[in-house]
Amino acid sequence: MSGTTGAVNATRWFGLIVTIVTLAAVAWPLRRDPVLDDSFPLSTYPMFAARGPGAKLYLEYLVATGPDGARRHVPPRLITKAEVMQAIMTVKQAIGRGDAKGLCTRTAAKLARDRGFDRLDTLAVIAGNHAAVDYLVRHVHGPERTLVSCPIPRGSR
Amino acid sequence: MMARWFPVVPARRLAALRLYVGTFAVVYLLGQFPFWVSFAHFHRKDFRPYGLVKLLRDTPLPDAVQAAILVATIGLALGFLVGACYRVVAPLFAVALLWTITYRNSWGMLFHTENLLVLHVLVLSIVPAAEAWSWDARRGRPAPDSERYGWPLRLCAAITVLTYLVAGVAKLRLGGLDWTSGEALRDQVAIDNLRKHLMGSPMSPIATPLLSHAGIFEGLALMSLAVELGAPLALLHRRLALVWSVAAWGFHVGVVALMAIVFPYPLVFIAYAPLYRCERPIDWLLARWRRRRQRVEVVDREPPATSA
Repeated sequence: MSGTTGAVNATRWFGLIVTIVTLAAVAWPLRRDPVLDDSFPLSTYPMFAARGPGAKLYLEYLVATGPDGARRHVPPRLITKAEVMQAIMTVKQAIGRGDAKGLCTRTAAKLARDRGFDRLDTLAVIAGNHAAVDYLVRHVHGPERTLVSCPIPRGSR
Repeated sequence: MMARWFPVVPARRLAALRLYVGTFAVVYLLGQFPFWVSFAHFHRKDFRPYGLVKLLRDTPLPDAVQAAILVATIGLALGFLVGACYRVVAPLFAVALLWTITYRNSWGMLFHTENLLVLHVLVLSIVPAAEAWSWDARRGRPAPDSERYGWPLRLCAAITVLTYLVAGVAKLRLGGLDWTSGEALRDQVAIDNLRKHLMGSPMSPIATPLLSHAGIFEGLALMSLAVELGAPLALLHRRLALVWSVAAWGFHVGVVALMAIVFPYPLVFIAYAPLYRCERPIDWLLARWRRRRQRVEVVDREPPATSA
């Protein structure tokens, strides 16, 4: 009988310690800066929380253009092979370390092998500053600046 | 209070959670394998380690080593799922999964889609979650009901609700009560969809039409905050847990619809499984399978009908 009680007590002690440590760890980000101190797996979960004035979005992205004025934004699978946000970081960091031209050339080589970009001949790395609601609802585009451009090589497929 | 935290439950309930979480982990890791097997497409300078991966300082692993870790993680996930050598395999799997996902998050973008999976695996790895429906338990007698199986379920449930609470508090800390006006949420939806458009990815088909109606976002913001800040209520009663988990699931469906962002772990409802008697679907399936098998055996034993 006492053995059973002892075992139950051991279960409870172990359970209490694990519970307290785990819940304290998961709640610990509440004491941290929601944006600067985000981590994994203990997160401040800042997604959808931050707010910028006027839903402004500054972003660097890649656009392929053609002689007839055709224009197509380059998807993540042709920039990295990862998700949208990681592709964004790849572009941003390439520009940050002065490798925009290299990024342009590497991506243009991939576009040359992609049928979706057949009619397009130039790739540009662009920095755009748009008001998101205006852009999507009223089709009012903000200013765009071409940081670097390069030809899409043909005949390499 | 202590009795509520240490309910006496069947070993099958905790084992069921292991089966759900393990199945999810195996499928998820296999699905992500092509993306996570190599990070050669990222520049080494883009490596910003988080959490456990900070042990590497600023030097990423050679691709072959990380690929080997990923393969080992999948193997350990299978061991975790079937409950083989659980006391050894489960903690190894927890560490490997934590490493693998943290490493993936250390390449320029911190995702929030796998936190609960990792936290649940960490808990399950140190508790007796393989004393039923497992390779280890295949020959032994069924384990009696015990509070050993109860508290880990309560803890996993508490972790789930606490992560929602932390997310709700972050909204109030960053946006204040103004966040409930819906403007911040509308801005987020617009920014996220525009980001996808500029990056040549599909946008949500319903986001743009809805952006013209600011009032809708006020309602959505209030509902989101109610789900997140009200999450602890789910621990008080089973019916509250049902209402809350359905509402939280609906929140994630809304996120998919408006931003095409998928949180797979809650969307397949495994994140909320610890709030329920989660062994019941498996019990039901097994009972169905046994009945079917019995019918087949009876038919096999019946003598063939003789013709006149």
